[in-house]
Amino acid sequence: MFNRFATYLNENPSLRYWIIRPEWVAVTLLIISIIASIQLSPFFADMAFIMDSATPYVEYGLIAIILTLIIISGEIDLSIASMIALTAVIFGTVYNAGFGMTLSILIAVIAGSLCGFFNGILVAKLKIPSIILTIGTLTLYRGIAQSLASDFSLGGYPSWFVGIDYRYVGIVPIPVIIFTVFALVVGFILSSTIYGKQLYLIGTNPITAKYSGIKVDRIKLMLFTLSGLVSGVAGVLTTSRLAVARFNIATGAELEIVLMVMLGGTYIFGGRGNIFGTFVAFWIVVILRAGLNVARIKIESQLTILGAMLIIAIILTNYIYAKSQK
Amino acid sequence: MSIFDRFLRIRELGIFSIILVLVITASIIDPRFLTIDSWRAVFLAIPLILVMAMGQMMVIICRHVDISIGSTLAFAAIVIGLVFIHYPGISLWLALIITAFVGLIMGLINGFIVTRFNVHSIIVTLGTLSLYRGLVFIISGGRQIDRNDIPEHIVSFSQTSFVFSIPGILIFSAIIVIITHLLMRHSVLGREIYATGSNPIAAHLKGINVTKVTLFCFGVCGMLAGIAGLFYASRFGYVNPGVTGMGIEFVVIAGVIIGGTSITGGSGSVLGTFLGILLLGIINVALPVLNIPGEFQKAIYGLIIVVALTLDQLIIYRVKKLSISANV
Amino acid sequence: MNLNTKNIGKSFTGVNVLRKVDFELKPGEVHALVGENGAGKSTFVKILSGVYTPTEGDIFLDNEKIQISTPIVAQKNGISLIHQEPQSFSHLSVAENIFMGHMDGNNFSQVKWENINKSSEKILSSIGLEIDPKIIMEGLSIADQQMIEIAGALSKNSKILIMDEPTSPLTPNEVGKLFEIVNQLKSKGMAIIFISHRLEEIRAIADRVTIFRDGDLIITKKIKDIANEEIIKYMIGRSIEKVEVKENDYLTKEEFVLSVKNISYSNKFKNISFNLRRGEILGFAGLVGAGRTEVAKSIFGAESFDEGEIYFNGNLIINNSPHDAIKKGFAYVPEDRKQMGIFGSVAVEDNITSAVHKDITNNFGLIKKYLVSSKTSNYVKKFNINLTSGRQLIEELSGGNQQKCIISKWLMSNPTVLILDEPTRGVDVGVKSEMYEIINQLAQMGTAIILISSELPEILSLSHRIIVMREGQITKELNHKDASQENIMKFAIS
Repeated sequence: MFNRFATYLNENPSLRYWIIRPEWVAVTLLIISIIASIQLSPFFADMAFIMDSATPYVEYGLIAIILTLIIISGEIDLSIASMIALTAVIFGTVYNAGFGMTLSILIAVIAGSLCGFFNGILVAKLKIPSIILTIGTLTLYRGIAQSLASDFSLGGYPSWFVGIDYRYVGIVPIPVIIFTVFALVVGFILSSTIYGKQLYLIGTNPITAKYSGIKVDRIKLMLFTLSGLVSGVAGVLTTSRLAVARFNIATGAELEIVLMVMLGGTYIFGGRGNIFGTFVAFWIVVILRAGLNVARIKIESQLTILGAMLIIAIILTNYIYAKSQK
Repeated sequence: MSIFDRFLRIRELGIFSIILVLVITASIIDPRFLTIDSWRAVFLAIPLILVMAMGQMMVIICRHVDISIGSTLAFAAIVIGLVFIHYPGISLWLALIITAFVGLIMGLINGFIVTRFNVHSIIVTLGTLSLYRGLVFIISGGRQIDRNDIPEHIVSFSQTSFVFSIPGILIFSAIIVIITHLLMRHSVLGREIYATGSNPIAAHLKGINVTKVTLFCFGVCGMLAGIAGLFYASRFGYVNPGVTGMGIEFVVIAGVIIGGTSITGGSGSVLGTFLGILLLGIINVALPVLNIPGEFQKAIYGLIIVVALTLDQLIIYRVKKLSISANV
Repeated sequence: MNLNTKNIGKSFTGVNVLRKVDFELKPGEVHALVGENGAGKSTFVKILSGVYTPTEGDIFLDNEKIQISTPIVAQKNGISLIHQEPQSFSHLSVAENIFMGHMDGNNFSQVKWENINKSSEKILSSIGLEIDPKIIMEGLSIADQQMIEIAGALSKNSKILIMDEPTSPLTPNEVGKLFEIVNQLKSKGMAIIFISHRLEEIRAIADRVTIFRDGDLIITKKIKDIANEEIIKYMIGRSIEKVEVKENDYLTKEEFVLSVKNISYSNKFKNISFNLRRGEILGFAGLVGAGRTEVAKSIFGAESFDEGEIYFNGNLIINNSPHDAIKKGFAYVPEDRKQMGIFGSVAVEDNITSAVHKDITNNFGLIKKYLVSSKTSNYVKKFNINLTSGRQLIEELSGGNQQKCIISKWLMSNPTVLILDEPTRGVDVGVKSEMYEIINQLAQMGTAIILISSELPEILSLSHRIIVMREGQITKELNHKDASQENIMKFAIS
């Protein structure tokens, strides 16, 4: 019977395309984690609680969305966490030098964009493989942050700035709204516009893409710059949440951000994936983390679980993509 | 001499010259830099990283990467630390075997996942980096292994000597480096590793068991990280679950890449890797002499990686252009 | 060593690709295999070389039944496959490339450098190749790499050599050298299976020829007992009509849509000048490596050039990228379909709409799905593309149908100048004639066409004018009335 289903799917490529997808795994996982967490504690049945738990992760979520685009186009950016730290430190330094809030935020975001642009130039124009280049820049950017801020905590922000995450519209925290809107917009662009389509093509075959008139280099440069820009925004948000900026914030964030992207079914080798999956994965990570916290599992032990989930996620995604290409 | 050979020789010469320049500059500024003590500091800092770099080099040559080695180091160190607490009389050799074995298993797990499921090693080892680190916390209960937990004969491994007055840790690392060189340059398996990295499809067609080769590289990489865990306990006298080995993978990878091993696979030399690690070690020691604050070290390491990668591409580009014209 | 097969058949999940093949290979013979793509000859040699296992049937070596389960087993039995594109280890030395996979000893044995270097030298000189075995493979020509692969087969004491379209990437000189080596090997008793699409070469080198069609072995004959037309007839099951060059009104006009003046690009091509009118088919003849593709890439903006100028409709232009070129009205159908022509794991309709998007999007870039499907079905109908749905992945289509999709993609851009690079490579004879019609139709409607092809009959039957290139330079320009296979060849080879 399974064989008949398989043959039926083979003859209907459209159907096959919609049914065999890693995103359904993500959705299933989300449902499972919601059920499991409600068993764990009645808090999880409360939307407001879940929304609150989500706020600290929005910073990572925003970056995960751009990282999804980068991975679809066949590259990767591991310097994201370091860019968060660096932009936060720059923000703190610049603000404490008396530059005023607006200017400081602007400078931080521009600094992030420059870091991303630097990544982009080396990858797109010089053709340095992004995997090793961003390993290099993750060290470099974190190092610059450390050089700038040493071991200090840069604080001193006005009270209205600290705790942006505690503003709400109804029960929904503002950051979550920002994240959802961002996900919708980017998701729409990716799925329904030619710009999104070109990313998939680039990730599938960058040479054919070039010969088809797609501006591969320019698009990749733009994506990396965007990654830096969003990291800059995340840096400011994190500083607001923590009330301080330090060189070592967002340590280990690479894992959680990559987890959101991979859990959402994005194919590491490029050409497949979407924002919907990343969005669902974001909530999985939120609920998972909150659940682990409630169950009083130590942060460090949570690492084990997250690491295991990442590995399982990529194995499953690979398997599904291999199957769907019968 | 082919273009490729020439390229590698330039690379090694280049690193060597930078090392020379650094040493000369530093010793001019502060003649104490040339004393045995400073060099001791350098040569004691590097065995740990050097040994791990040998394994990482093999992994990168066959087109993979392993960023979980820091966690593997910590795990092996914690394991052996706990062993020390319960069996303080344990011999050095047995301790080596245990840490090597623990590391080997952890490396093989990485290799297994990569080969069996055909998934990218950067993501796998990002996962095991966290998974193993979590395990470190779990089995240590968050507790640190202190100086008094570590037996004297273990600590002295990195202080005094087996031979002349060279600390055992240095001799052992030297042996590992030499074995790696012999393996990679002169053994059948070593050449198969290069072949696999150079062209995995051709390697398969020629009958090379690509899975075996890959598993071997990951296994050795993990094993050497495990041994480095013992070195850590010996050298530093403590093991802390939150600190030990954190971020070390990037220093190791930096040294390997700077040393000329290409991320695209198929090339890399023990000498180059050694020089790359040596360079990083000397920078570490030279910074205070040159009056550069310690916080700048990471940034400098990062800058060197980026510069090395950039120069590589520029040189390759030049070389390719020349070789096209040469082939008329 | 005698090789026999009885009743060999192969199926892939219910699809039968090879049936009841009874084949015989004698020692010391060169046995050619011909057939259209998908005819089964590649599948057959993959079975012989251990890449596939047969679903039924047996293989006999010297009358003993053997199972060839993996490439290693095949090699151990003395059967070696030389691939179309040599697979080399560019970071390793020549000697290592020859001996990789079968060096003496086990894993941790020391590599006996002196032995393998000396043995390599011996083997290489036995086939007339003077290369230092210690040098690194990187930078060696494809021809040399191929010889080294042959040396590798010899080092394993192979008795049977299978060559899969070995002459495609070679210059005529190199083909000559290859044939010398083949003859040498023949005289030493080796048997060679030679797959080729080029009947002239087969005639020059083969003793017998076997023709495959649609998964069946049709017939085996001594080459001297069968004529080319017969071979073709067996290959396609019918005879093809000769195609004649079709003139049109545009050809009388004086204006040139494209004028290339003296362009040169380092060592790839020198002093290339030609003009092209609307509605004209300009054929570029020459052998592989003559530099025609390089010229095309430079005109299209995918590569640059050092000297010279290009004029488009009378204006001096520079194409900095394919994007520029496409915007102006150029289109390029590349010779390497898989690497540069298609997005393999992407739907057919997305492939077809990948070069231009103003027809399928609104001002903000929003894709109108119904336009995508309708345009695709238009082309599917127009070109008779064989597929089940526009959403099918293009890599599931046959070579000929893929090529039709690629042509559709470029026609969507309404090109003024269409460059076709080996447009019928890997395309069945049936689809080939369909493509010729399409090309002629386009010319009739005013498209200027540059046709790069290594198949002389193709160039002769389509081109209004022919430019012959050799080693990066133009050696002759001919009108189709004055052109023949002989005089094109004369200017194409040294």
